[in-house]
Amino acid sequence: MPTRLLFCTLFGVLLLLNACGSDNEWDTSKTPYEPVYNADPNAKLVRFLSPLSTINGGNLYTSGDYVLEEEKDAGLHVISYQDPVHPKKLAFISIPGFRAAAIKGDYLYVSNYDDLVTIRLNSFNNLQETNRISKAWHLNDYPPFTGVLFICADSTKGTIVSWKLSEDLTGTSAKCRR
Amino acid sequence: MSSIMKKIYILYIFILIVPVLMAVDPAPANLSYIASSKSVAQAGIVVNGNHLYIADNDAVVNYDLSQPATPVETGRENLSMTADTMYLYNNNLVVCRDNYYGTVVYDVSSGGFNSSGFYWQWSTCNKVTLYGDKAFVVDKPGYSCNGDNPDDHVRMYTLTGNNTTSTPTALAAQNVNAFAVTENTVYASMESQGLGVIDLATNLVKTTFPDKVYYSLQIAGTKLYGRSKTSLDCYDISNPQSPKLISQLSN
Repeated sequence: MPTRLLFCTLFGVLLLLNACGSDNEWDTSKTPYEPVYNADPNAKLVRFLSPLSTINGGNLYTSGDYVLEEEKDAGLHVISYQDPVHPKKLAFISIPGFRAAAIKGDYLYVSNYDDLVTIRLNSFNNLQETNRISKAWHLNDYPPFTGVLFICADSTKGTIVSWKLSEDLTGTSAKCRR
Repeated sequence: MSSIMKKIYILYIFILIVPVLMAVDPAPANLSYIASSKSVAQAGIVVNGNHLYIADNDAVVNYDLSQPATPVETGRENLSMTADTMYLYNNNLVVCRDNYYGTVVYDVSSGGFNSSGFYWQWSTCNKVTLYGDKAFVVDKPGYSCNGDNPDDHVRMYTLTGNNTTSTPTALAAQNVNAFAVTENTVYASMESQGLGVIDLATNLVKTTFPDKVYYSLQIAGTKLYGRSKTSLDCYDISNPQSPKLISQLSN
């Protein structure tokens, strides 16, 4: 009987001990992540600029005799093929954080970071932004990993464009965890 | 009695030590990369009639385009996962979840997200181009969709009813950077062989442009546009299997 009592007591103590120590899932000795913000006031601004050289060309979109060529993460080159033997760049639509586009009739829909922007294509020499849906794409306010510490996102500092390892190696400023 | 107590004591010490040993931190992981917010808009924008669809980190969202200048959100369906790719096939919106977490297909003929009986066998590891009742499929670079037997051909499937599981035809195009499809012809840009023009009826390469390697191909009417590293090229494809290069717009 004393043996059983002792065993049960020890087992109970073991269970209590196991209830502690869950902080090891978020090892505070590891470098935390911190958000990288784009605080440029032009980050959420579509601008219609003079033609630019193509540096990192990508997907192609067409509308009638016009081709819109992706400049990765930066926007779209507008190219006229009204004379296909002598194509001509007409403009560059600067769209920071550009990833996706679709055309329906006279309207171009583009991503500007997490905003969905509508641009009227009635005249390729006179493009107009007609609508903007703010935060149409939900940006996660945490890094794409689990079991990590990170510095909490602050939306007042700008748009989160990536996550990097923090320069705060001690991790004392990392108040969030995932 | 003392013998039993001794055994219990040893067991007690062992049980206490095991959690402590398990709690010892392994070697710190070498995390040295930057995580981009690649999921934003990565699945693209799909327009179907008066509806526009986007997918974000946890949902697919429907906008009404009755007033095309001012889209209005009209529906949202939880995905429980980031979307990687979206396709539209006969009023079926195909949404591939990131990291092989499966594919869901919605019947969007009414504008809403209704369940579809369509079986879609491809996922995030495939690039799919649809034309008529044909699906042209390749494995994305860096993915191994078929495990130990990777297939680097463009495969052509015939879609029937609510099923995509026909026996594929391996087209005469391998290791493609980009491809585009018309009624009877596939234009495939291959890293080592350049632009190939393949007749679908015979699966034969009809024409090649060995020095033309493109990373994006787009067809609009009788024009084929190709983006190379140095120029945007335009071909006249009035005769689809005999393209004529008509201009090169340098970067």
